[in-house]
Amino acid sequence: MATITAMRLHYNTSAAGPMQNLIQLHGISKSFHLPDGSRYQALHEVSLSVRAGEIVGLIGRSGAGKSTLLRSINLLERPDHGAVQINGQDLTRMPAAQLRSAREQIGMMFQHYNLLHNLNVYENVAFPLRLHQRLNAPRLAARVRECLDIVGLADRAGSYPAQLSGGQKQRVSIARALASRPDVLLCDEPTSALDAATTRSILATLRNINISLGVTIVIVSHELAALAQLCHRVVVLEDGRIAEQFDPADTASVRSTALGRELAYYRKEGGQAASWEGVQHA
Amino acid sequence: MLETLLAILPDLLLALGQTLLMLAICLVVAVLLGGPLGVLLFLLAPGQMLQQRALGAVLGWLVNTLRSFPFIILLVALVPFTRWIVGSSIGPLAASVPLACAAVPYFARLVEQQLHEVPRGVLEAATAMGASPWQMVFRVLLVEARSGLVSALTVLAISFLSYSAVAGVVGGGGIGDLAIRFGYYRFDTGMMVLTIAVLVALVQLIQLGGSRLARRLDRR
Repeated sequence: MATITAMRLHYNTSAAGPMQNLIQLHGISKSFHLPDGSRYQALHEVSLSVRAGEIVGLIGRSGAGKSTLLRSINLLERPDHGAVQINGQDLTRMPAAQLRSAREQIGMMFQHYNLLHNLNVYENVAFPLRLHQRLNAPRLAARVRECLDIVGLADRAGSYPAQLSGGQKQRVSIARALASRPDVLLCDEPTSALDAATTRSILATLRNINISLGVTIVIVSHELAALAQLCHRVVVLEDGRIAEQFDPADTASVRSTALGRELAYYRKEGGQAASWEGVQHA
Repeated sequence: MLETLLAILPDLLLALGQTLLMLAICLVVAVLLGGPLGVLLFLLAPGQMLQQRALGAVLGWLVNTLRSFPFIILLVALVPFTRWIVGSSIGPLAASVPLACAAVPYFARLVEQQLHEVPRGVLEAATAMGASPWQMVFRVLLVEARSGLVSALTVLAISFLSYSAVAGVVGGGGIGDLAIRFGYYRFDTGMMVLTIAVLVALVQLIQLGGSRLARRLDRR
């Protein structure tokens, strides 16, 4: 219970004063060519705002467009129409070089970690720093250590990804995403390849990062029970449109979508989810 | 046996030197020109960073065309070009020109293939971190594919060791040429066996070295 209160407190402080939208998606549409020559409309003019310091969960059935929406925030998927604003700057209008430096402010984690196999843990975390920043060796080393400490892997700096468990690999990818001090962390099904206990510990780490570093988080996940505890706001996508969005803490209102009701159920029945307490870094 | 061995030893050593010279020139040119060409072929492919269908198709067509020449025809067809570059169309240096010309497109395809083995997700992560095309090549593609690239170079070296025998046609010399001239044309079985034994040893050595290095570079 105490942790949840802390979470909300943080949320309220960051949302205090003028509502500051860190991410603003305006009328995002995206369609894909299918192998049979037809087009598949993944997103229909979706608009979404995320405030600084918020944790927003995107949920939906397979093919609802949640991953596409997440990936359009850093233009891994370039929308056919619409604008993507981060800190008031439209990414879709940026020339390539400017987009690359804007992406430095947007960390990302993936379902399959996507670490470089031939680099050790230290070099993987240093990777984004070497791309953009001209840090001298001691400052770079200090920053890498800092990030590895956050995820509790300082002692594995010399290991290669193949020598780590799935949970450890995902922790390395969190450290890598944090290295360049991003404002936003995008999480594309970060726990789908992990077991339940590891999932809880990864999500606990994300929550701690949000609280202590103030990093805004947008997460796509199928772990409804976990999202019900983690997120300040949940957005339900259906057929490429936002069907509803709500604060999971608001258990009084009736949800209009099946997924929304399911999530609300977890919030109620799970109570304040004892599972959150006592979760240590695995 | 020992006597014959001693008698042909100078010939054999000279031929070995010529073979190694041809192979070295051919591999260096293949790496310097074929390597970047392979990277370019990869980057221009649909869905990749520099996606350019038309340019990619033209380059691909060029590579295929060069690779479709039987080597002995290429050797003869390139004589004017060889003369222009080396100043002569005879000797190991001259033979290195058509060898290199055949090796460049071959290695380019091998490199392209190896780069396709790098998981797409890793490239995507690098894109999300804001890597430029240049950084993508040197910090991601070449790092992640390095073990496969060494294997590709090993395959190239062994293929062109055997191609270099054909270079005897233009007086290129080399061990393969020795085998043909002495062993085959003069029915000198001892010479034939000896030269082939040297070639077998060379191939084994190259493969052993290549495999070892590839394994050491692979952290997957």
